[in-house]
Amino acid sequence: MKEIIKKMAHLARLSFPDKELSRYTEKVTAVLEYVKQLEELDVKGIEPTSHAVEVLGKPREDETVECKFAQGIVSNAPERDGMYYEVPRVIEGS
Amino acid sequence: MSYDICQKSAASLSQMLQRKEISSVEITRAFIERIGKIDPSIGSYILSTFDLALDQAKAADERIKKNKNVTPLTGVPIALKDIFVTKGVETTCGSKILKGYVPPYNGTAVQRLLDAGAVLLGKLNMDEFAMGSSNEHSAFGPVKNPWNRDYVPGGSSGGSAAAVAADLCAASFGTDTGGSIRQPSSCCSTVGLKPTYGRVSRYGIIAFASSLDQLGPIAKDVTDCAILMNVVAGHDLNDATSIDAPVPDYTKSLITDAKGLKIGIPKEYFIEGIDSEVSSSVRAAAKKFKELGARLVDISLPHTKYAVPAYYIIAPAEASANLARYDGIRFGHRAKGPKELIDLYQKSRTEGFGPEVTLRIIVGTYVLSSGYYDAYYLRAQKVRTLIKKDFLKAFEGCDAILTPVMPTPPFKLGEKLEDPLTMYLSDIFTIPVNLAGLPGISVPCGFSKSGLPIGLQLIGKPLDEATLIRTGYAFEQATEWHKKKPTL
Repeated sequence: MKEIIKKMAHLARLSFPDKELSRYTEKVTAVLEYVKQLEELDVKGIEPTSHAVEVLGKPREDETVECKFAQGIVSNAPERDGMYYEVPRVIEGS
Repeated sequence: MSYDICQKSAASLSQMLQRKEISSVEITRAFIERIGKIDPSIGSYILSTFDLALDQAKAADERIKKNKNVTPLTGVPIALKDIFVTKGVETTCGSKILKGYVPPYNGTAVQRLLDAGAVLLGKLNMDEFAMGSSNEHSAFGPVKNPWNRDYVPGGSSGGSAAAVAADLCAASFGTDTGGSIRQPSSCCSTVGLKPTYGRVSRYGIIAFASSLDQLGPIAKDVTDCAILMNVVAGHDLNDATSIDAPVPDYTKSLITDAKGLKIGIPKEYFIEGIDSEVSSSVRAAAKKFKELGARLVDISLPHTKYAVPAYYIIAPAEASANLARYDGIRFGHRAKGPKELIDLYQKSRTEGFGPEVTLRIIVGTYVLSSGYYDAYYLRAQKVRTLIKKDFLKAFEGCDAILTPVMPTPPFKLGEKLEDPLTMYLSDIFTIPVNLAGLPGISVPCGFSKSGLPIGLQLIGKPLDEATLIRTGYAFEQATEWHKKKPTL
């Protein structure tokens, strides 16, 4: 189980030292054990519900709307260069 | 004198303002003074916005003086759970990962409140990303219950309920994904209304589980809830899940009897294991409803016990997707000295999220991952259908359903912190309502022998908040529970 949780953590972009990984493995296992009681129910032929209220999503005109706060969005970045986000190098090269 | 002011409901303050017996600046100053004196021992505010509040109060006084666009909220000081995106005011969602985030816009509900002339005193404490039932999972420290500071105020809108109960704002707003408005309201003896999913726009509410989240008022009484709902309810183009349906004037439902109403009592909510004081308080409330003219009918919601396990698959699944946006690049916490991009993501997220949020992200990732999806997530969605059908069937025979809000009175700080599963079970009676997308209200209905608040829950048909306000109001006016104040 610990290996699986390590993989899940990686998929979720989290990483822990071994002791913490053991702690999370224990807690996740307890939650998964608990939710297993749903297996008591026969759900054959039951439609799944993803939203309680039917969301139909009314179509609207495809219009360009000016974003008035681009500056306010970018200024929240912890590291930036003008209107650009700064990230560690992704592509190797000169 | 100044404390008398803070004790008043939003509706009474509004009347005083409109009769020009007091100014909004005077009221706001009274709250600022009280917050400074009392809140250090409660911890309900994460951030105060007193300068902004005084500016807004001056503007409100001007509006009242000129008698221009005066609404029942003009000049009334409120505070918001820190999950509400507020323009120019730091919004953290109770998390270290959003420390320093200053939104460039207001959410729809916030904008409507400000347009109505409300005064914003500050942002209220909460469980990190609204995950928790005790407000102990906050990066800014726990909130204490004003009725007894050794006890939790409930969660995740613990700051909102505690601030209203301790008279640190006239009214507040919270959000409710599995009980986070109703459960803290029960713990603190406030009135909390979770509207139907889609009744109020979620635009500008930081997302936890998008198919379950809903925002609503936490107030001193039912009248204030009706007034606040009148401001925020209604369709919004910025939220594709908001419902385009007419909104009634909720104050028209403030009626003091329950004549002709059928109130369902579900046997699955009065089971063994529920605290006897809670059970007897809610049963006494049922008797009161009968005196008020309602007919009580026995109903059954057979899948109730499967709601919590279904929720702890669905909510973490949605959360794991929603919280993927916190990557250390666009806002909030960014780890120092990353080796490369993935390392930056991993370090920023691992450092930024607290333990409960981390646990739920892992659970959510697990139940959505290939190989486990059908066994967990798909099955939980099917169980959700069964739970929804239980309610729809029950509503064929009644107009509202009466239950306890939680199985026990508020518990002690630290008591359930180390065992997530026992904490999760404190939402056993509120979670089914979110899964079915229904409205629910928590109204004070008693106190335990040790002086801790107990609340009742009324659950309504889709979009029928009006009946909840009517039944809640009739009960409130026939009882004295809402008039009690904690000693601070």
